[in-house]
Amino acid sequence: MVQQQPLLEGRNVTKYFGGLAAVHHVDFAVYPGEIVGLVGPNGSGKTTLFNCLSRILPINEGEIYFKGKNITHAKPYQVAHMGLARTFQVIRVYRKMTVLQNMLISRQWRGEGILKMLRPSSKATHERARQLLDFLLLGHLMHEPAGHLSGGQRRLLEIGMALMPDPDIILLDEATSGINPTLIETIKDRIRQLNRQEGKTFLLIEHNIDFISDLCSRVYVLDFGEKLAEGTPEEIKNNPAVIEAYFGAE
Amino acid sequence: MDQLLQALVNGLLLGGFYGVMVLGFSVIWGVMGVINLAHGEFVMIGAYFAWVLNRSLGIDPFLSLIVIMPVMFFVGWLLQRVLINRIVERPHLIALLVTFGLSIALANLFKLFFTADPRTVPVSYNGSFELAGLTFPIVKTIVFGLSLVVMLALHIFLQYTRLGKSIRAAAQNKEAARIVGVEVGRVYAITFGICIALTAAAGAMVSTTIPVFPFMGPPFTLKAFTITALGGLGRIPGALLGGIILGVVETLVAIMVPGVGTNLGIATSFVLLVVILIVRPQGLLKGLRPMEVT
Repeated sequence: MVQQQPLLEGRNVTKYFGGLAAVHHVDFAVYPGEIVGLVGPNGSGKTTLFNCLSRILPINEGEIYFKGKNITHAKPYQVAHMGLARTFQVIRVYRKMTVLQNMLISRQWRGEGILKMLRPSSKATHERARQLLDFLLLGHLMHEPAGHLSGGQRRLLEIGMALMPDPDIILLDEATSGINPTLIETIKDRIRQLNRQEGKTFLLIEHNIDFISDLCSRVYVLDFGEKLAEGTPEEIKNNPAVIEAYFGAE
Repeated sequence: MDQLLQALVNGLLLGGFYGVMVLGFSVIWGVMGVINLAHGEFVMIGAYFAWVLNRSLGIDPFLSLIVIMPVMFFVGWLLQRVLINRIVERPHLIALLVTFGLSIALANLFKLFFTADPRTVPVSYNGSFELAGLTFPIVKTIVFGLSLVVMLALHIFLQYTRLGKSIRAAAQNKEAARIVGVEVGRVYAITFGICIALTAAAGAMVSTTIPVFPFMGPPFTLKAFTITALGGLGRIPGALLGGIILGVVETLVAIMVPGVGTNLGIATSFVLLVVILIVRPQGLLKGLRPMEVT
């Protein structure tokens, strides 16, 4: 790979909860156009790192850069406006709103004045929402309340909501958790299409190793909040330290 | 029978006002998680605002809403930025203490400026008309009609504008809203501004029917609790329904237990609240569950 400026970079990222280091001196970089995996046993700090990157949680030490800008002290909406989107481990859709309304919410606010915000969403925004819903096989459900969707469909909707503002990088937190194999294939296929055709960059937290192997060019492994390993999926699968972290020492 | 029907009409008219009076309290609680114990004081400020405009410029109290609502929106916005923003998403007790302190400060500040003397806001059309054998006080009917208009406008705002949808998103899931780019802090400030404007509008409207004095606020706050438990957090149809239930119950109790005085309304409100919380602790109509602004 031609080394260029990372799209998203963490330097010495550290997050404490009381005396416990949930993320400890983690360095990483995600380059434009990559699909990178972030794996590790439960409680290894993956979601905490996502929360730090998306600025939901402040960090105690280190720096985070996005598109070359220091976002260590930025607010979540600011990094969202800059082009960083994410999903959550526990799906967060607006259950009482329709699928289409959920999509429109994701493109409501771009620092505009109050008077402009009194207008309804534009036709272009509606059109983008419809196209994305079709792309995610949810077009026929756009007028259904999101609470009526299956878990897998809600996961797809959440991915759609993340895509609505046309972000540069999407952080997916366990996108396949609790999803049936058919929908997992759909999600995998859509991530691949978005990456290849639109150049979207992804950082994926996953426990599904096949999913990671099929999609990711590089993988980071966290354990007890520290970076245990990094490399290609094959290298990671054969790394004794990773095997020990997942299965324990023989 | 006629007396009962008349009581129902009176209760309905009163309930319409209660519906709009409670909206600010209910939406602030639902969206920001702040229980605003100074709610009644903003009703009082709206009432004084109408009285001042009427006395100094001769402006009709209903017409004065055109001035009162934008000014009070700005007051609410500023108050949120300076004070309320510091207690949002903190434990309820902190919000209760701060807004309780605010209510005392506001009431005493107004006592200092306006004295404790009750004021009235006279209108020239203070009569009534007959319809189907029932009497409709003109002022209370206007208040009811305006309340419906305000509630409908708020409903349209929340459902169809991008700002309204952002408020609903922030109410339902703040983290998810933040992460898709909604400036939740700004949404809070605007929400608080809108709610204070609505509450002050309710105060301006009610100034035509009851005396205005600095300590008129607390009963409105107490009734707001009951109506919210009845109708739900941030639910506009629920606010109207809860307001009407309380208005009708208050009126019926007043005619069944005559000669007890106006304080019976507060007692009724509290008995109703206690009964609801014993029978349905979650409130009627999903009352005290996390909100879905509709």
